[in-house]
Amino acid sequence: MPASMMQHSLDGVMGLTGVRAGAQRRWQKTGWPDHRAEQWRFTRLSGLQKVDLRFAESAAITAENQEFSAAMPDNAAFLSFSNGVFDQASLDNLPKGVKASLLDGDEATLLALSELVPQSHPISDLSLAAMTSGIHLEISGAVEIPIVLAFTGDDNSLSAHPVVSIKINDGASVVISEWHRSNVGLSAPLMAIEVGKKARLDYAKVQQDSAASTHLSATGLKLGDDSIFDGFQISVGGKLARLETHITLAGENADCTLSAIYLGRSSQHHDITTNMNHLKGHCLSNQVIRGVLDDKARGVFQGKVHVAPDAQKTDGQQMSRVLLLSRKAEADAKPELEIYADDVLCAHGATIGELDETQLFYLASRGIDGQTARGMLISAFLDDAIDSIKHDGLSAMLRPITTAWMTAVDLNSDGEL
Amino acid sequence: MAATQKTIDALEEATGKYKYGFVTNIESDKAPKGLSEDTIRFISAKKEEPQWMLDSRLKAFATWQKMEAPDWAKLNIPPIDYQDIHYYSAPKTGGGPESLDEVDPELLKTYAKLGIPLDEQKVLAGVIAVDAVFDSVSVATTFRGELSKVGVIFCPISEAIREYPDLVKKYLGSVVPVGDNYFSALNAAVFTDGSFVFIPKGVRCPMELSTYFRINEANTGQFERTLIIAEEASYVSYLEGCTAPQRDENQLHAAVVELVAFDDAEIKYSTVQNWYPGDENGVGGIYNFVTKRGACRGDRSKIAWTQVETGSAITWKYPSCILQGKDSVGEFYSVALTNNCQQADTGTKMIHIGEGSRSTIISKGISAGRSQNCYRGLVRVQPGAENARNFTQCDSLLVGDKCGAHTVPYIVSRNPSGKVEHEATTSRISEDQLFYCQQRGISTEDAVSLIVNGFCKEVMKELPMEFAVEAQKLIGISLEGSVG
Repeated sequence: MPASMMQHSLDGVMGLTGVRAGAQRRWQKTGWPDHRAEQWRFTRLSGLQKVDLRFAESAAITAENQEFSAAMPDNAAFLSFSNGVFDQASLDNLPKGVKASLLDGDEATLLALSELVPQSHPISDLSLAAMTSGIHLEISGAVEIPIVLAFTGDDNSLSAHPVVSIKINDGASVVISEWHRSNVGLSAPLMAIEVGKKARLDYAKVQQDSAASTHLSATGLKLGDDSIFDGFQISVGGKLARLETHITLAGENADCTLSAIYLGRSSQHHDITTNMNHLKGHCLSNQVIRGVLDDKARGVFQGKVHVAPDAQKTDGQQMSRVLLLSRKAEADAKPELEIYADDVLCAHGATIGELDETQLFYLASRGIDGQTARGMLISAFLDDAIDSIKHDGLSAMLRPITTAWMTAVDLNSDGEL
Repeated sequence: MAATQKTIDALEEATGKYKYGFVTNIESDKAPKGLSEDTIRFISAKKEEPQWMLDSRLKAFATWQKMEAPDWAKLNIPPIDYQDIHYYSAPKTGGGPESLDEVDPELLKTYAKLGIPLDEQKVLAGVIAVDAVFDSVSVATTFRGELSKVGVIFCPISEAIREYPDLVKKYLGSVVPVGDNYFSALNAAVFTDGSFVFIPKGVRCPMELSTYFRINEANTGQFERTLIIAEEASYVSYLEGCTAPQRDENQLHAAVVELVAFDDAEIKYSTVQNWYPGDENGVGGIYNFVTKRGACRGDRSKIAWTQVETGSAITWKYPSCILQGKDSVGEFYSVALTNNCQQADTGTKMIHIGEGSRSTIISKGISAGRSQNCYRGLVRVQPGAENARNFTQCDSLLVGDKCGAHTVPYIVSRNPSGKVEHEATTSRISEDQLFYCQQRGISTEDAVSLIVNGFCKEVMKELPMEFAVEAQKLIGISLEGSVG
């Protein structure tokens, strides 16, 4: 039943009930945000309306997981999505402590998910309604083996709407990596993660979609008392990518890190949007954002820290820095603080600039050539963010991505960037 | 450490109990309520304006009718009935007075209560010239003789429209176009008075220029229009201060201020805004929707905005700089204090167009009571702005746990050689700071006062002496301060 999903009618999706029908109604009413939508002022989606995409009906390709495996910690367990459709065979790989089920028809889980994901968000509604596949994971105890959610795809006329819900039970701990390397027209993953009391999640999202893809993701997280979320995102691929994450610190004493790197070249557009919602007291949130932009790339960071009246003793920190390597690159930042409690320490910082001439001179005066010097400075710049990752396996996994990106940059350009 | 009663009292002293709440009984000459082309014709006729001005007003009115009130600010604005407002109100004093003797003594008394010793100004030997605006008509302009000797024009804008039509035609609306926003369009249609300043080439204005705005009649919208032009290598410092009497009805204030600075010129614009903020329950108070913008057209020109905002029920105000000239400089220093049910959404825009343009933004927000205080700003570096430099610092201090402090900066950089830095913090007075002071033998009370004074100091030191005293009083958290 192919149909243009960009139409508000969502013709391809019929006979929905319950939560998904509600999402479909909302999508049909609002559709893609237009130029007046404040949250989308730096990332315009008007181009999408003209594109005609279909939903995938089945996992048509054989996922090439070898590539992933190479970059992963040895024993990772893969859960694979191809063209947005879940490969049920991958359920055989589940490590101990992980229970998986399908979301389709599981109204209770879908309802919980719909409340966790970003509200009034086009991807929340669209991907819930147009869900190509959905799985629910429940984590208990300390799961030793890292889980990799691998998203591949090979059909550029398709739009993929995988939905994943993860519940980490009280006291459990797990390492999850969400890895996108697909070549679909639109990749719109919807994630909902609940981290229980005293639970811990180490998380890394890698967006390496193909150069022609549009990646729009919506992720919602809820953290319980004394929980730890150590999250990281890296956006390298895609033509246009927006990684939007909303985190609700719903329990006391939660510790949350959500750092990110975006690396843009040619005419790529990267958008990292975060919404840190402190509802309870004594929580810590920390965000380190680094962006490097070359050619005509554009980078956007929007980060909001909201502190509710009850969230006393909140410590919310956010730092965004962008390096512009080219004259045509553009960086936009909108860090935002919204604070309703008085006994808090919140700060944000944002800088945009080019490589420091005095630092380059310092290195040159010590006999280091321009190319090496530039590489060193960019690499050190990105390390600030990668160093915030506490899980060694994840940081080891991410470093090669930034290195690979840098070797492709023309670092030779002297002075005249 | 919670905010102590003393701090709160000090804040109330500064903002809560409005000591300027009195009404002057002067018969006034009002336009009937409501806004229509007839109202505009009435205002224009009252002002004895030439036809081109009336045409421009009517055009602005047509533009305004097509626009919608903005709703993006973090403000809860009750619907405003634009037909329930008087758009013109002038004290009945006959023709324009030649000297202070002709000014209604009632008015002079009002100003005396406000602490503006208008008739003492002359005695004070040329420190300040006051172009006092009482409601909508400029009542007195002092020191004009002295200013005209050096070629400085300082007069009500209505007079400038008659006397210097070429200058007004050339610059009015050139920085803030009619259709710039809802309130600027409204202002362009119905503005009643304001100040006009022209500083000729190479002249350093011999005194600080000052004007006190005051809303007196109930239900009278106050729509000032100010235009300041600084020619090459000139300098002017302009002071604006506001107080308003206590009233229950909400009053609307939509001013437009335009500044133009040419090569090597400098304009310093300072404001102490203390319009009536409403009572503890948020009843009454001024709605203050202001568009202030300066154009640094010339190379090495400089525009500095300094504001201390303590009044108004609602403040919507973003004094901005368009840095067109090479090496032009824009500065914005702001202290915004909100208490009770006040809402403030204020900040600045720095648009870097010229090579080597620099801007500094220092914003200090203090929220108390149930108020909401928001900094909103834009720093934009255009592709041609080689080596542009911006530094922004926004600090918020919360007093009490019912208030809110928000920071919404927008940063857009399209030139790699531009350097943009933004920092924002929100906090209470930290125990570390107090402890540090106590260790060194400073009493808690002194420490708090020291810290709070220090919190605003970067801004206060930018104010001219004449204002610094009043501003410190308004901020109110002075030496008697608070104990943690």
